[in-house]
Amino acid sequence: MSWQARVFSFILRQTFKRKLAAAKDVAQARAVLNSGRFRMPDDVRATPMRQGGVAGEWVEATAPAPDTLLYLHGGGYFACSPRSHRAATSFYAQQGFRVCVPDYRLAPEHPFPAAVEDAEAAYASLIESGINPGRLVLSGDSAGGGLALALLLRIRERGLPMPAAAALFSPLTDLATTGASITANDARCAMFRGARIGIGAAFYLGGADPRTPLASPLYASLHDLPPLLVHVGEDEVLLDDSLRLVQRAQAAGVQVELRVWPDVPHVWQLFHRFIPEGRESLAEASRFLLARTAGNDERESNLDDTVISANDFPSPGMVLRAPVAGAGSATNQPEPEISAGSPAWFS
Amino acid sequence: MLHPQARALLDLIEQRAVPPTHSLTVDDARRFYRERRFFTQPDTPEVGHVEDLRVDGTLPLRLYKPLHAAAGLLPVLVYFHGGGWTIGDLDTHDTLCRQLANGSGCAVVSVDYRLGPEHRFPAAVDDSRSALHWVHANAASLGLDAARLAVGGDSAGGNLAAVVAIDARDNGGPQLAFQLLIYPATDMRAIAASHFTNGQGYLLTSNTVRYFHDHYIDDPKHDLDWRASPLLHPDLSRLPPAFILTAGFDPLRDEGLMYAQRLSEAGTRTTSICFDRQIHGFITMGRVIDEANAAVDICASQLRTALLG
Repeated sequence: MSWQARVFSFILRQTFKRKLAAAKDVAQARAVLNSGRFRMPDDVRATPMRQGGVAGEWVEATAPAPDTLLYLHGGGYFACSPRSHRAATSFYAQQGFRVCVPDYRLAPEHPFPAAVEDAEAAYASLIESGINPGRLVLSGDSAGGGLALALLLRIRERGLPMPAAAALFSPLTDLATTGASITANDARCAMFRGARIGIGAAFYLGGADPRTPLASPLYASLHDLPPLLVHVGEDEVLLDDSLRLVQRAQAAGVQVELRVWPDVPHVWQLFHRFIPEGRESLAEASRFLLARTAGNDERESNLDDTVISANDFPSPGMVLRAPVAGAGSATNQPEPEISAGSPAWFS
Repeated sequence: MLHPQARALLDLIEQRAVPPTHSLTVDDARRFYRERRFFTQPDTPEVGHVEDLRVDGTLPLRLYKPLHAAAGLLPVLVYFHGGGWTIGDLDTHDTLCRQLANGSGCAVVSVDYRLGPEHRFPAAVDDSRSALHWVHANAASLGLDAARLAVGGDSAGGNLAAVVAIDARDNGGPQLAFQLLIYPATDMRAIAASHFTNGQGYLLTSNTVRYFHDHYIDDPKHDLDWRASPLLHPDLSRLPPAFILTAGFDPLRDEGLMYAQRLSEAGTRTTSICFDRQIHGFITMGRVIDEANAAVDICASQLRTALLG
């Protein structure tokens, strides 16, 4: 939509995409992916952290931050770091999150499921440290988005308390690369030739089946996940990783919000200094996440400690009526009723 | 869904090719704000008493007493007008102050704080504090009750009211009974989602937000100062009970909602009402937008409850 998105995509296509397509090994691919620079805003600080044995950084702003966000960076599971993704994490910090960014182990030195183990260890450690899961959210881009989904699956498997919501930017959900957009957007995608996705996936899988759910959450059973937000670019080879995931999540009863953005490159949020849609996406994701943590405090309410006896509540046999509309009212609305068999008070 | 009357107003503005505020010189912007208010503001109501005053011979104030004022000392709202800390004065918000006085049964003191760019941050904050302290100290001689004091404002004025309320708590200021914040600016960083979704086409645009900001603040580190961005203050507890009004199509909507949420979470009693179909600035447009009159009624009623019990 913006001229900046179009120009930036054009430049990426001529430079980044070609270099990445030409990379002959992991070291060369990493060099391309790690090449971004970002200067932290004045009001944001990164400090080293260790959660559950996993190193990383806390990214915090001077703004008060009652909510915690666990951010899982992208990079195909084989590249990048908390540092490379500060454009996103610092923006979240300014929106009122204390951002925990684990430096999870990377492939091929540490293949699947090392990244998942590290994400899980960091999350469990945050919960153990006393953070209220109602005020804890996840976010991730690209492989980090896939990793966030894998983490949610592990949280569910282990019976840990779920975070309040998750925001995913162009998540990588299918290491078997069966999406139509892998080929359909091969030329159009600003960052990747479709074939690169499979090459990167192989580094991570280390021989495992690409349809393993914790590596490719598209193949997982997605029931009982918290509300999800997914933002993806219309031109990306990974478009169908997002679209199919959203379809399957909705079919499984998960609340999902999807927004597909024209003209933007993969993980455009990281380029928000140049591309206004980057800030817009991050701001929208922040709003989505903050709306779902709001009011989840475990704090004293105005309710008395005195026990409210059963006699104070309407029993299932009672019928309640709303006040009758005044004489001369134009509409004849039926009076709302609560009767036996519809225990709304007790649900 | 934008209210059809708000839509009609925006369409008219576009049809008439009214130049946007951010394209004007400050003098022109001030003049237009004063001169064009009659198109959108309702008729100016009579009040019981109106008087121009000055704080120590300098800072101008205007005192309003309502029609049918109760006997004895009146509770008082110290009011800070909107206008991006750059435009606006005692006249642009004269009608609103009269409406609030009559509707609440309380006195209102409107403050003509110094504007940018001639007087940048924190001049407006300093003036707002001075005005509040002066009203408190001189209340009895003005027929006002120093024990029943509220602060309030719209837009930039809401920002000043919020800041002054925090200052009163922390720096030995007067005890305040209430704060009335009408679509307040609470975060100079302008990074909340509504700045993006509502930044074009709803009268207050991102360009105008930036124009006003830049006339008030020239050093970006001030954006992080709580006296400019009260949302960034680490302690929003023990503040006066608050009524915060926001508008659905306002770029400032989310920072207003977030301020209300943070106040509530800190234990400050807060009511937050969003007029979903409205634009920034609507409360002074009662001649052309009906909901403005309801909004004024609600604000006056909240003020009455807080100060007159």
